[in-house]
Amino acid sequence: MGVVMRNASFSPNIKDRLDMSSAIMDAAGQLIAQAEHIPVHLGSMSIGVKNLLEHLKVDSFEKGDVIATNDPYISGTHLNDMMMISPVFFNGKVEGYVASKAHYVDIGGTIPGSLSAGATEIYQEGIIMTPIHFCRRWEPDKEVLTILTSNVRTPDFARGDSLAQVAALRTGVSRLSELFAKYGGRVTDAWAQSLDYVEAYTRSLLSSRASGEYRAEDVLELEDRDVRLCVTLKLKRDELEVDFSGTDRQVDAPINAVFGVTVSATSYALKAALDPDLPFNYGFLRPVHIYAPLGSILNPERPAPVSAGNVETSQRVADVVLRAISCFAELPAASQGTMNNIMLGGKDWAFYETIGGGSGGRPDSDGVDGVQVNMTNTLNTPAETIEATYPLRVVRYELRDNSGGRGLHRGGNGIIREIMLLRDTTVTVVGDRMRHGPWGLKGGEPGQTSYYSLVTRDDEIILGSKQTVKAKAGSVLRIFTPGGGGYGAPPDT
Amino acid sequence: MVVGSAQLVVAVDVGGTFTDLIFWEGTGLKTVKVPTTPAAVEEGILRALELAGVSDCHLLHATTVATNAILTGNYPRVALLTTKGFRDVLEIGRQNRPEMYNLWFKKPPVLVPRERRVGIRERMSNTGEELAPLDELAVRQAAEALAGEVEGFAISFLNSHVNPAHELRAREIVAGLLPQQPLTLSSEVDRQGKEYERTSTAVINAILKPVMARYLAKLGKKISKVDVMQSNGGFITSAAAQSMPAAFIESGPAAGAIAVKSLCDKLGIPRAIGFDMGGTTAKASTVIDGKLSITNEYEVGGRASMGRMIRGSGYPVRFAFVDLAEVSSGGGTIIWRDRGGALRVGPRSAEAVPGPACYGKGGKEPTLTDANLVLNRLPTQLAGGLKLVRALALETLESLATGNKREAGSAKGGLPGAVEVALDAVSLATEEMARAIRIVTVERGLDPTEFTIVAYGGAGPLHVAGIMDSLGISKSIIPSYPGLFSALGLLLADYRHDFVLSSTPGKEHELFAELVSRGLDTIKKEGDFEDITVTKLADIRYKGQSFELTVPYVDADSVKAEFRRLYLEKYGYTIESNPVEIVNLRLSVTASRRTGDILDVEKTGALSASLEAQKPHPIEVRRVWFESGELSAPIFERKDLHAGVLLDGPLVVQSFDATVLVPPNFTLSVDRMLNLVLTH
Repeated sequence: MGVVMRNASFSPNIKDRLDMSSAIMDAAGQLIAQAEHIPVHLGSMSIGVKNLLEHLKVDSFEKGDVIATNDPYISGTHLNDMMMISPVFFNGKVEGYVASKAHYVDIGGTIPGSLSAGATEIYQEGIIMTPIHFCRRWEPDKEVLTILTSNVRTPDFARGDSLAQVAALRTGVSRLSELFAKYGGRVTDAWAQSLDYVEAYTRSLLSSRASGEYRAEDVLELEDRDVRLCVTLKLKRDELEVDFSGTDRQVDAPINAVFGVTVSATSYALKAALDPDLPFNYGFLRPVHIYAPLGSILNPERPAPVSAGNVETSQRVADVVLRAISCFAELPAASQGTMNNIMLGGKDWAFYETIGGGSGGRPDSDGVDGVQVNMTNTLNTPAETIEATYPLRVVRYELRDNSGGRGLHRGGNGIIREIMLLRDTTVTVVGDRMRHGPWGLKGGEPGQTSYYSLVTRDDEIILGSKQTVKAKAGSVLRIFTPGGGGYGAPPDT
Repeated sequence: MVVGSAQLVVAVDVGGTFTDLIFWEGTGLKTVKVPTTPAAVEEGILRALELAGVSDCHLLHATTVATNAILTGNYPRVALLTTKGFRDVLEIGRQNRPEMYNLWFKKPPVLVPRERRVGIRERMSNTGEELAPLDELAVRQAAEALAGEVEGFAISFLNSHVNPAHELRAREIVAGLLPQQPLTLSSEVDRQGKEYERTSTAVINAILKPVMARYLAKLGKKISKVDVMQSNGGFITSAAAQSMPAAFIESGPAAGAIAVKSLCDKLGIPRAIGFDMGGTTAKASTVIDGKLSITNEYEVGGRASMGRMIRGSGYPVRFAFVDLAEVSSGGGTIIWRDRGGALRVGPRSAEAVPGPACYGKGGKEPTLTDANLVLNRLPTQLAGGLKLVRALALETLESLATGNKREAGSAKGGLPGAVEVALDAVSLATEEMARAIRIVTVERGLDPTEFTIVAYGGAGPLHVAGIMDSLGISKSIIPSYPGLFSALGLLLADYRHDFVLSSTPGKEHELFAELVSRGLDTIKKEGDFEDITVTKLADIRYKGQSFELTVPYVDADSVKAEFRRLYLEKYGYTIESNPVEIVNLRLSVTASRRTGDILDVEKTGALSASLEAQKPHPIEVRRVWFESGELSAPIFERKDLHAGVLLDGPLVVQSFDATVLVPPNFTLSVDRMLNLVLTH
């Protein structure tokens, strides 16, 4: 499914950056297996598909039905992520679903790229497709497709990418149908076993660690204040409660993260810190209980805007959970902790990318320079591709010297990326760690903070971490990404 | 048309463990196997030649010397001149990390450290227009400053695939100052967009130039003519090899794929899967209508996961590579249980030391070889006299048994623990290998059931029946000498050069004319060929997509129609409203070397005196475990199986280099070339 999706999709965001995932669920919507290409999708579909099935309250699917939604309060990420599912039949009965999620480069809303830095309600972040029949008998509904393409700035991408998702689902359904034809009911037996297996694996992992309560805090930055995230890990033998009580209330800014994002980022941190080989499906969530207070930024209520929850808040959830785990396990210092989302666009074009930074220093070695960390792992867009596709020119792409936090083992260095705008352009940046550098561990110093600016003919305008500005042709957007935190006290102190 | 016709032609495949030599000596094939000498590969080759009694020859050669230099980090220092502002492109790569969930991930060490990467002021636009002239003084200064420290320069400027003028001028300047320094231009080795991949290809090439030159010089002292197998499955001469060493990264596996292709040509098989299973890995390739499937990107030194290359785990090289999917399933692959209690096979291997537990060399973990021994599928003594100790294999596998009996009614209910584990482990490995085959078929829009498998490598013939079952494939072929099949491929391969150019709309015709004349010039320097084949291909996509399909090129219009047809076949829809664009033009030029009748058994005299099938006698009857239970199976020696023989499974065929397992419901026949043909 993923290969079909990559090959048939249109936007560079999907085909080059692989901002997408595919999954298989059982008839109850429990996630059996997921191939995610970026960690922020890890397990998000286990929330998304369950929500969707509950929302639909129907059991009268037909073969070739495709249901689509991008409503974050259902799908579990943000409006740019279109989720589609299709039922798998065996002996006339729905035995499971295949699902596809992909990030559309533009989904409408107030700015190109849709991740509006200034949104105060979700309605400013783009079109909300409530769950709707996108296809019947694999035939896309022309009216639905028209509604979608009429509400976005890049209709060709939206059309191509949505058709690619349908092709991916179709491949998934046909492969699963082959399995059912070959093995019959043993397929669903095996699914049930695989849920039990992941549960047993997870319990074994948890019970190998010391029971106890471990707390940590971290912050996200708004223009005028910090927003606090708190977590307490309550590890009792082979069960773990992850409790985000104490986290600040939801805000009128897009850094609210729907609960699906909170679950994904927590799952990521646990898997990465405890055992990268941990297989993942719904069985993981049987001994791991994740709680975030309703109305907090980690479990907001409609109509809070959520576009950056997926990117920035997910990074901070990973940071804070990793920090709590560092109370009982050896871990690296904080990595850059942001995705440095850049959205550039004009009347008929939109470009989106995220930029890597430093990873945290480690007990045994320096952090890694210029790399995607934690919740994202998307590829960069090559300068030559950018220049051949958009009215942009990349003028600099280098490592940011001495930006990693000092320490016995320094943090990795961030990146400097400078892009010249060849036309008048709407520029949006959504980042973080501009006031508080990524933390060090065991005496290591924090990494350098991020720095964004717009260099015009005669001035350099410093940008906030979350801001939209109109820029004249000829200006240069300058992005300095954070370095990782250092590990251990620097040798000379 | 015959290259080096006056000389004895000898093929040598240098693998990780063994150096295999094979040649045609009037009446039959002669073979020699010696241990590889990793520190100085040429010594093993010369030793094999000595044992074969060959003094001088025309050497056809597959080598791992290029890959080894990168893997061991034992390579010369080079410098990189690149566009100012972009000197860290080589280090940042595509900014991803190779493992998503590993907090301790490392990137592969950068091939040229920052102090030897110099940003030069210059700039071309994406349309090839000069935005800033080349700072010639800076080029001169960089060359002079680094000359004493390096054994070569790579030059890679932004957008040089569109307009290479600055790279060409920079080369003139450096060559003028330092005539001895080998130089590599990115626009010459890989004329395509995406700066990281092109720069990486150029740097790899620059690094390998001195490595290859030294190696070929050493061989050249003893051997008068050496041709080297490229990753694309074709030879080039040693002179050409020195300017494009990045072409030899996957030299060895390419030879095996060529052998599959030649066998298919001979037998008239339209679609075949090459399945090569050895001690540590299994590889799958495809041949369709006489053509090897080729891919254009690879990461040298990279790791594969579930058959796919992990992006960012190695160094990208863009060149034509035989399209291979590789999984870590081999005889030495370790069987274990994870935390969740699931049985797992690989990716770790017991390697040569300590090897499988049954070798009695201190291996404590069971391997696939141990599983096969417990199932009584292997002889208890291997060629070379190594005894396999079944008790040791049993003991290690027993330790993984769960004690949980399967539910009643299951075929395996109540099995001895070690046998159940062994059967499960073999099925897991089979599924993993089937996955490699799916990658090169299903993921490329091909139906594997329309294919015939050619199984080779030491362990391929033992596992091929299970793979046929898993994929619904009805026929496979096990050639003579399955363990030396790659070396045999070398004797049969063509000469080949691949070229690529970014396309310009409306100029395809002229650009191809330029490519063809370049291609013919190049191959004519290799030798006096008559039968030269020129193949034109175009990478084509919908405008806006960045994934191309490669389509045979006739003219710009027909290629677009062919693209739409293929696209529909692959993805189930087309978008008529979107324009189609040609991205790259590709040309391959091949020329054959007369290979005589090497695969033609009738002419080689290898065929038995009588074509009448003589009923062979088994050397013994053994109880062998199959999926369906323990059965009595006759054991045959391969040399006793004459053409025309037809036998029903269950049975086992043994030979010095491989064991063939024929389960119940499978039939084994022997064709006129003495290939074993497995059907069900």
